[in-house]
Amino acid sequence: MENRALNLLDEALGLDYQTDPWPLRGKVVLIEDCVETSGCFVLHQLLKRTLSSQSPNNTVIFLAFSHPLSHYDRILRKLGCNLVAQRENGRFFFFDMLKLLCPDEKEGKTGKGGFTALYWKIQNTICALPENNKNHATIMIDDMSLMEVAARGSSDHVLDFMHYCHTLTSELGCSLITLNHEDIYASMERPTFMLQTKYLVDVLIKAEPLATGLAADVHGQLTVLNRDFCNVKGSSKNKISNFHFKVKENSVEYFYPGTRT
Amino acid sequence: MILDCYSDPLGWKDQLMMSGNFTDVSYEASLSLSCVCRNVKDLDKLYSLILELGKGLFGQGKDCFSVAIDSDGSKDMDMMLAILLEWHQEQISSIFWLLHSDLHEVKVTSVLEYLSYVSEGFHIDQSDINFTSVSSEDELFNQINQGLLPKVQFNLDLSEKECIGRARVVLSFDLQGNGKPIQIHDSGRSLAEGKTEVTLGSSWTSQKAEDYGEGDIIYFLDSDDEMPDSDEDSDDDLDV
Repeated sequence: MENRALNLLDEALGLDYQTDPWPLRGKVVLIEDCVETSGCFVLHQLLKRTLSSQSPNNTVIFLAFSHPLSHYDRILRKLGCNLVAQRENGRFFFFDMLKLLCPDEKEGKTGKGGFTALYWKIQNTICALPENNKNHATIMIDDMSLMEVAARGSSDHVLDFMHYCHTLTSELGCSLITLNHEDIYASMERPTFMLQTKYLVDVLIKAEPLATGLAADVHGQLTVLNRDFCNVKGSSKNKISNFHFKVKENSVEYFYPGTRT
Repeated sequence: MILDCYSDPLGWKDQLMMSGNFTDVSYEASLSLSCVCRNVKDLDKLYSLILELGKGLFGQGKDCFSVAIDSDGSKDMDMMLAILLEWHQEQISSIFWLLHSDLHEVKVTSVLEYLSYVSEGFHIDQSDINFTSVSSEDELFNQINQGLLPKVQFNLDLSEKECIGRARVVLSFDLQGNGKPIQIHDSGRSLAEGKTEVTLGSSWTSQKAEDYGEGDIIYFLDSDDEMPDSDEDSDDDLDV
């Protein structure tokens, strides 16, 4: 029962208290990383965690803008999860978006193609699920900066799309997990796109390099901000967790600062 | 009355239903229950929808109504402003607007602040909400930033007790000079203790702390030292 072994990330996300209903249900999760410290591994871990959780109703809709299916399949195989088998079981839907390019402004007005069509595809996929699975769908996006590229640099289109995905979380109880790169917006005086997505977010996971510089046995630190976190007693508040991590061949080690010799 | 601009602001869901590809009846029904605005970009239509809803409350009377706007950072702020000015003339008695000020340009928020009579920032405590005036928002921002960024495991802040302790430390006299009388550092003695009378050395009589300010040279006579008024030439034994 490997998935029962809890780690600090699970704890920070509240995955340790219950598996049904799925703790991330109806929530929007944003993973933020930078060139020095990639946050892809968090997405992979969450993908594996969602598919291998106790609840058999969890379904994942994966929008891949950066890698083909074979890439994720290889990684998830190492983590002990077979994506192809899950796809055949109807629990994993892979949308290859590598070649998506939104139509020009004029063509876009007709509503055909681009993000409108993508949203329709997602909504139809969710609505076609069996009744029990409808409220357990997770939409994953890798990654948002490439969505902007696909939208020919128009962040408004991406925000519209994100807004519609957000309506799915509140109306159908889906969850939305996205990855974005923080340093892309570092030179901007007012990174409106970044701020606006942060307003939508319930859980923010930040992957950063160590403040003290590079180290051989620590790859970086994760800061998890969990808004409206509910603990066992039922009281809710914001929760911030901070810990270090080391990415290994087929697992990730999480530990508190200073607990490694 | 609620005008729903959240569920389908661009009419995507509506188009999907129209196209006939969409078959989920229950979901469709839930959408059609509330009054939904399907194109927020068409502000004139949005405006007339609001008026229609407001008038619907009273019939055709002359009563006024209030509008509360919960915006998630609407992109067409400039046009919204123009509409807002128009609203002032009409039947709307007051407008409450929740605005994310960091999403908009400073000029937009300040124009809105000119238009508004009350503008408040707030922060949320564990159990209740505290309202503060807008001017102290910067302080709040600092507080929030400090709270959210636990980056190092070392304690970089001073506690209240530590701050008081630091204020009491007497600096060496050349680092003083902020207008107050200069105090000479005496190790092991803090500022408050320095005010009491102290006795120094064996041959010198007691000296009050106030005298420190006059710049006297304080010299402690050792028992081995010769008396300063001795007639003997101290360099006699030198063979030059």
